[in-house]
Amino acid sequence: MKRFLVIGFIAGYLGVLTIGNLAHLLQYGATSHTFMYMIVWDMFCGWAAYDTRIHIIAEGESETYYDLTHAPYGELHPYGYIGRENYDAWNNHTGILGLNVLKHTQHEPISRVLVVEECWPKKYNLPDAVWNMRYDNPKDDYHYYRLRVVMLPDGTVAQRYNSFAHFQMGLMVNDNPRLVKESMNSKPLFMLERTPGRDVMVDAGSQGTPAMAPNGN
Amino acid sequence: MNAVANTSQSTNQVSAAGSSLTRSDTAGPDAAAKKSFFFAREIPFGMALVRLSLPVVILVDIVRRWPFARELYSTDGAIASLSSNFGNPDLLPEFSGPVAVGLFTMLGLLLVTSAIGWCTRLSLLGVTFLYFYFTMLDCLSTVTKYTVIADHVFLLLAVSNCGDLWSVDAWLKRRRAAKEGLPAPDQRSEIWAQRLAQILFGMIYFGASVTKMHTAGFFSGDQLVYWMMTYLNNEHPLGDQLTRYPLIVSISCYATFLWEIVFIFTVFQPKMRWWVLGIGTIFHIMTAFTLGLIIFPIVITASYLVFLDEKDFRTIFSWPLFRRFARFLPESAPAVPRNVEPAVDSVRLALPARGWRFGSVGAFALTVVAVCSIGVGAEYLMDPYKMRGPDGPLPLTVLPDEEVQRLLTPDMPLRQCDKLLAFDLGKTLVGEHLATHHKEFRMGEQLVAQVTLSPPHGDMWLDCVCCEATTDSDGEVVPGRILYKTGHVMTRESFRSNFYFRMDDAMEPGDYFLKLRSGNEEVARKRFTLLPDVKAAAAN
Repeated sequence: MKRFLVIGFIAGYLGVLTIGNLAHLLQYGATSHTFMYMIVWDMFCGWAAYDTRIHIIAEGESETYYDLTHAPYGELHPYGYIGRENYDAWNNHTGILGLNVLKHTQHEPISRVLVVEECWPKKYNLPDAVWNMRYDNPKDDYHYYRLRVVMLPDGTVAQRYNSFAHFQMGLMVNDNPRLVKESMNSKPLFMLERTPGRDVMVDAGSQGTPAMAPNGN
Repeated sequence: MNAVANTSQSTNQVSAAGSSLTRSDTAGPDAAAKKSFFFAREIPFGMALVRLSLPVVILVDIVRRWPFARELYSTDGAIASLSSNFGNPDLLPEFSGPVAVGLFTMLGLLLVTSAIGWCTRLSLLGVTFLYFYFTMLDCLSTVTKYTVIADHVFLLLAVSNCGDLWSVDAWLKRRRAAKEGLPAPDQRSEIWAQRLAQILFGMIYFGASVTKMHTAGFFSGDQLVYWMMTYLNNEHPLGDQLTRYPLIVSISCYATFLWEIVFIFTVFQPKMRWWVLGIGTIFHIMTAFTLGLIIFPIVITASYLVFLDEKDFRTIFSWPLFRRFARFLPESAPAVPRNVEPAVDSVRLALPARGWRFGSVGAFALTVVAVCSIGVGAEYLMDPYKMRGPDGPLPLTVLPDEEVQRLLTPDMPLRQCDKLLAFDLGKTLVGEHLATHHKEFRMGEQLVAQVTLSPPHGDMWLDCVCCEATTDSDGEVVPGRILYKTGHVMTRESFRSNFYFRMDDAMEPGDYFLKLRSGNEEVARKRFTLLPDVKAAAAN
């Protein structure tokens, strides 16, 4: 009986590992369930050309802004020297992190919680010594900022914007009069559509966008 | 006895990791050899060492996160469950602060008891379950692929007999046997769990190689170069330097891919095993210096011990460096025929043994309860949110106006210079990379100016302008008169393109500049020196 259980365990375990690898190889069902994360070995999902830091700020009713990124009671730097909010690739949880800081601190009534993405080209991360060996130009470090999430103090997400990289891709795609004209032609004459706000390309998919490596940040 | 000898020989030829078969089998050498792959009996040195080392490594992570357990894993914090990213946020239960802290403390304690081998199987099962639970509960700062690998290894340790060696359990068993005048317990057991751990690593590397196949820009080295420029992990000085040599990175990418894909097919070959494992160890250690990974390589290197079998350990402990530790090795027990159960099994079932085991488990349970209670109490006294200070909760930090203005800057399009990753000069291309970077060229040589752009970028017109070097009013050497200008389109999907120049007689030896322009804006410049032709110089 014990031998049968052992053989069953071996067969089951090897079967599960095989399913994971096959799903990954065929790119079918690899993200169909949370537990697939345990058997799909996609350790190298790619890295973007831009480094990112996340800032969570709260706007008080007096229009004073407060820092929620660095909680006054301390923060965990899980893998290096930056906080856990920087490891949220899709900004699914950053608003919640800010609300948790609000919940455990003294402050005036808050009207909004904002999540801001700060980006800059990774080449500026290089130490000066390495930079000077490769580049003849001085290091002109420039950072870009993009509002990602607007959240009410009760946790309601008022607006969610696409990432800096997707926004830039959208700008580049729209910088094409022929394409813009064709897209205008596809608009119905009478039907009212939801008017896009400042971000025409929010979650518009990847059709026609420039080729870009997946972002593993 | 003949059967034992025969199967041992065939095992040495066929089995992985050079394991030797020690059980008799009447089905013939081939069948026995196949069975021996999973069911050979050995003293589980490798698994025992993994049991000693891996929990300690993971304990470092747990101890670092313990003060934040309430924030990371409880409803009194900001749980960021992995399942919510998969669209199933209610997959796992979420507990209140004290319960989460108590369970997290229990996880830490069970890691300790696993390492020392006290109620080993129970401890490892507890670790497997709790570690899985807590990692799944925090996708931002706990779960990574090394936690997943560790969890797999914990599960396989739990179903193995790794606690029969170098453990409190083993010590108690020996002491009991000595008291009762019984022979020392047989420490041999079937190695199927160890084999599964070995196959696990083969599968992991195979999956990792598949990932690399799917990842655009991996084999050109661009992806890895960007990782080396990323500072999400720790410092990585070697990685900084390697960003200058994308060709080396690209070759390393091919080598890594090749090694990963052949790992599972070679690690079970006795002649290849040490090479494969040696390369793997070096590879993982190098990720600390090139990518700033610390825990990951330690977890993997510690887990590599599953590839060592009894014979390997006896060999290693005969080396002068390790000879002093040989006294910790148990003596080889005689081979046990298949139909004969080891004597210790009957001893284990004896009534006094049951009493002992219940005593040990009872003490273990009391310890768990006591330590968890102390953990919950200590965490309460620590007051992680500092809510019970003299003035109540701490006030929020006010952001200066300049900082607010900076953060709320309107969206800006990319500057042209930010779309450029590098502008390098060289003489020879290998694949798509410059073999080496040069600043000096001789008359008659080819100059290759390579432009590497960062995605995303649109279709760009790039001008490459060759200028004389001149001196400005401050005495600095700057680009002067334009000598030559060329340009071409770089499409949005391109990472890099090249401008080729032949250094002919039209240019005099001296200093020059190459400027890269896009959209009428200078993006980068490179200074280089043109030297006389070698033959001409020799003739003079």
